[in-house]
Amino acid sequence: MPVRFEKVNHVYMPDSPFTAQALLDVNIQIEDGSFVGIIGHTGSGKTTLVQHINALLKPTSGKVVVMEIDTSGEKAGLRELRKYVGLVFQYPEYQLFEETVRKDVGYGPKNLRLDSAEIDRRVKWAIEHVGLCYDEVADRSPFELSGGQRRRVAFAGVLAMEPQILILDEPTAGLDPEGRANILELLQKLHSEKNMTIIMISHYMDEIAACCDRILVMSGGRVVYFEEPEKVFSHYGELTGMGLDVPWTIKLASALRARGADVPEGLLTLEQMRDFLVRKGGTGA
Amino acid sequence: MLKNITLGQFFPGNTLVHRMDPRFKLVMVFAFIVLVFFAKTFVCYGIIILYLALVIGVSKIPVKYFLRGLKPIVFIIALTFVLNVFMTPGEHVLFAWRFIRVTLEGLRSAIYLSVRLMLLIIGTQVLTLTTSPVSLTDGLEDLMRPLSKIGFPSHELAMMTTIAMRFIPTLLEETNRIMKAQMSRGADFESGNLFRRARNLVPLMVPLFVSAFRRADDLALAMEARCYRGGEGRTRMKVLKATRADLYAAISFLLLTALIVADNILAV
Repeated sequence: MPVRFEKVNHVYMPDSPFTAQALLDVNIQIEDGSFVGIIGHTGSGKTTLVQHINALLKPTSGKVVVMEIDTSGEKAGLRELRKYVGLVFQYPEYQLFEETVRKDVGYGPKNLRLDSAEIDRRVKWAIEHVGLCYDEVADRSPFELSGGQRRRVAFAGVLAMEPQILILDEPTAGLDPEGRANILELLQKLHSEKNMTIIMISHYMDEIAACCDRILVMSGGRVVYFEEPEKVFSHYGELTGMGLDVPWTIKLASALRARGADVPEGLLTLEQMRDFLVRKGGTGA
Repeated sequence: MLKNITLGQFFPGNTLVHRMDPRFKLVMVFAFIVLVFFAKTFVCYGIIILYLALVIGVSKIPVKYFLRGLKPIVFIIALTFVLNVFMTPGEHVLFAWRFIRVTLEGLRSAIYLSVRLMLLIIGTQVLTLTTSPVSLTDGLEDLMRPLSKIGFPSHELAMMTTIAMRFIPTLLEETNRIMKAQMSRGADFESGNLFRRARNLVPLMVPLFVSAFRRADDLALAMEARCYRGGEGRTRMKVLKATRADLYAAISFLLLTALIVADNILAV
């Protein structure tokens, strides 16, 4: 059951001097089990777009249908919807509030009215999945932990709801390279093992190129591109015109091409690029 | 939800009224309030209403913003009106039924009082709608400066107010964000009885307080790093000074005062 946007517009504070059109005629369909990367300049409507998926925002006009639930519908449906759609906000570590990590991670499952054995199971599963040691952190206060650990706890808090669609708004912002790699690894694992649909907003193009099978490019509230990474990054000029970057590998490929080397399209990840270069070097060309 | 709350009611613009010196605007509003209490005849009220309409016209602020400001006190106005109509003794009885008596004097004072209340509210709204909160506190600080001679902390008060107001939108935004985050985890802020609702607010209030303290800490550090040490000898980036707009305002206001004084003398 895919996520479907039909002619969605969203206007913040209509009829006031501060009115702003955040989404403009968005028509997209996100298939089950895909890993979508959303890129776009600050203020291009990325966050507004993803908040429509779990009905935190409702379209000013148009329709959003998720898991066959129309998001403008009844409250009961919304509760159901939020069970399926987990959203990890920007800097989620600032939303922790409980006395212990165990309670904080268990907050979501508790709101789903699960029994306590199931809550315990999910809490343990989620904490260990984000790479923390359950026995070590479960009974500590989240406020004692380091920033990176806190973010993982917050992350576990969403995972414990066992969503089928996981949305992340800049999950790696402000983390060190190791922390970033860990989070991405976790996302890829969830995607391949649990077949979760993952939608990730990021400003790191290398990250996006390495993980996603579809990329959605936003600019000024419109969806400009929504296609495979190779195709999106072939619009090198347009992307830089929108103030966006392209992955390092694309830059290298185009620089090599400019010097007359024969480099094929579609070398996105570092591994692909390395293999290509090694092969080329091997033949002595 | 919370996104529709705008700070104070400032309506940005660049009209004569917006450009006036906030100190002068404050003084003028105060004088206007006094003036309204001197109005005793219909003509007088008419003049004041015309004047206010002129100012609103110049400020280019939609009238609905003023009406919105009146909404919270509609009840008080209505009560004043009713009490005055029925409770004022007088000679010219217009209507009498058992113990209810409506007199001409009663009707007159009812109209006067409710119009006066509305004028007061709308008059002060002109100030708050056309002056940004920051320049408003700047103006207040300047006006209160003489009081610092007797130990009144005018600068500190103004600084505290400015900072507090500066953080209202930030905290609102933060509240909104945390609320959404917890709602994604199944939190429910909208149903249940009072006790339940209050308890459901914990996941919102704790992170909000934590972040407010963190921000306060950061701000204190940033201010100290830039050598803030109180109001003594501190200069301003935006120096308040009288402009042509103030001159026009002063002339028009003197004219209004003269008219009302004349009316008062003639009415005696």
